[in-house]
Amino acid sequence: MNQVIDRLVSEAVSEDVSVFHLGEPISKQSLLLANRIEQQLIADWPEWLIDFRIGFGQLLIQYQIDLIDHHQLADVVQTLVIEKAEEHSYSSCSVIQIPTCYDPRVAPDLLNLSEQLGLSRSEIVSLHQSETYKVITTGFAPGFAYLAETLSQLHVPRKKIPLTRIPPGSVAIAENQTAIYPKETPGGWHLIGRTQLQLASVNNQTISTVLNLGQTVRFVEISYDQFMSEEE
Amino acid sequence: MLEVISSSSLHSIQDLGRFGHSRFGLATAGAMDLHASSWANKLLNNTAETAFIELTLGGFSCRFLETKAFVLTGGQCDVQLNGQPIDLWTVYIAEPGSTLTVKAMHSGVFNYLAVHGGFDVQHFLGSPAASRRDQIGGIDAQAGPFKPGMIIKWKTSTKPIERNSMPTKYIPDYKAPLICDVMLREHNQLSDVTKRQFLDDSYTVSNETSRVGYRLDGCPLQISVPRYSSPIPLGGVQITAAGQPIVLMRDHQTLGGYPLIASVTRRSLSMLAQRRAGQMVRFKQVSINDAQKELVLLNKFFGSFK
Repeated sequence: MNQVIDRLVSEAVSEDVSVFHLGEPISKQSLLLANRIEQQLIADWPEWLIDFRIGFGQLLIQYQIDLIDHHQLADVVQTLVIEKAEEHSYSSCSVIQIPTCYDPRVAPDLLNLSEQLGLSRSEIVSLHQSETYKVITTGFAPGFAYLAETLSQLHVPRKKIPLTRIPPGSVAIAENQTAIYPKETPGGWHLIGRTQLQLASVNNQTISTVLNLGQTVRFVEISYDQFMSEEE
Repeated sequence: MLEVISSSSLHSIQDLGRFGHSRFGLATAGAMDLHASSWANKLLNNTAETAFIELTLGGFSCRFLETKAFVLTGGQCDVQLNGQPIDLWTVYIAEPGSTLTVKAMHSGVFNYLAVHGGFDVQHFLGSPAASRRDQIGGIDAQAGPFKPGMIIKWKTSTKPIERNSMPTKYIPDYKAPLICDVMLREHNQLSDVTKRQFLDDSYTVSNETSRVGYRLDGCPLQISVPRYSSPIPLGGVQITAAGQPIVLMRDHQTLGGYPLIASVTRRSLSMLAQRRAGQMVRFKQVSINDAQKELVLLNKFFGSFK
């Protein structure tokens, strides 16, 4: 593992919020740093930490300004990154498989997309399945993971007008990414399939999610009958 | 206990907010005008973390089923206890069976109803705050509305009430044009011209305001859109594709694709929350250091101010 880590660029963006720039959003280096920092912050949860989130190569930290200032914070985050580097294992060994039904009955945008991209439906499906993806960011809703990077033939802008209700389990693509909508939400990505996999469990005590920062994901096609038989 | 007589879908249980779960995309929620809600708790000698009711644009009535000290803070409105007008920012003691009615609002958007000891509402992921976007927290743990006949429990407090009302000079005038303190982002894509325009122009609050964000109208700003989304801080100022600023409020999304050019200070954010469509807003640049000093004072004064 490459241990040479430059000083992270940090920016005080408000009274108690700093943003750290980890590098190119989908580069291996920034994902490695993001993953390392996330695991450390969750494990230690220092007293000064109010909240944090990581998105597309940027780490945002909200901290108790009575306990630490933004210069000290920058030092602490830097130490965290360097000192813990050796003991860190990158949680990317196993590939998480997402059983996905690409049948048009549960993939409402496949037809339009086929015209827009100049690819047949089966070409879209096989291109989508042919790659493994990294979780580059979590957020939007519990269980939602931004997965990158799709093959360039599948790159497509978001819809101009977002749908107000996307069915839970919808597999979608937009820009150079793919994702799964864990629950019914509005959204502007193109729906190309559906899974029955439960991606998050939320109760009043905890949230647990299947897809976490840095993990590797692959989509595996199942038939419409298989998909329906998995329904609870 | 408090019995709801009539309410609207916009009223909810709030507190400082729900922290520590934003990486899952959950909104922080919490009081839109934390300044007014913190005063409500302060006047009743409650801790800063105490839960209260946030009322949006008036229209609420309830019955006290036991004797209880309470206070209403926030925008100017007609409020009556058993049919008699009462003052805001002032502690009253309601006798069992008393009815509190909050009618039309004359200024501002939000009111805060706090009781001595606070409301006793189940915590969801560390906070009772209702997050409508996430459908968690609040009276039914699903951010549902108050319904007529609903009972809201409260806690008892043995701490004496030290003040009866707030010094008049501290009561904000929500009708006044707002000077909104902002910290400019260092790594923004603003040209000097655009920066000057943002700080020199005046804006009006648009019709598009919600717990998620307040969009302002003004001369469009020229700014390039970044390729990737990024994490959004509370109070962040986004510039839309049409060049208009949106200030992100308590229910804001955690990631966003529009360029972020500044952050509104926590104190100014409370003041902005109380502005209605058509009211004037100007931005004034402050240094991070000065803004931090102000937040430290607010933290000290109210016990916690996030």
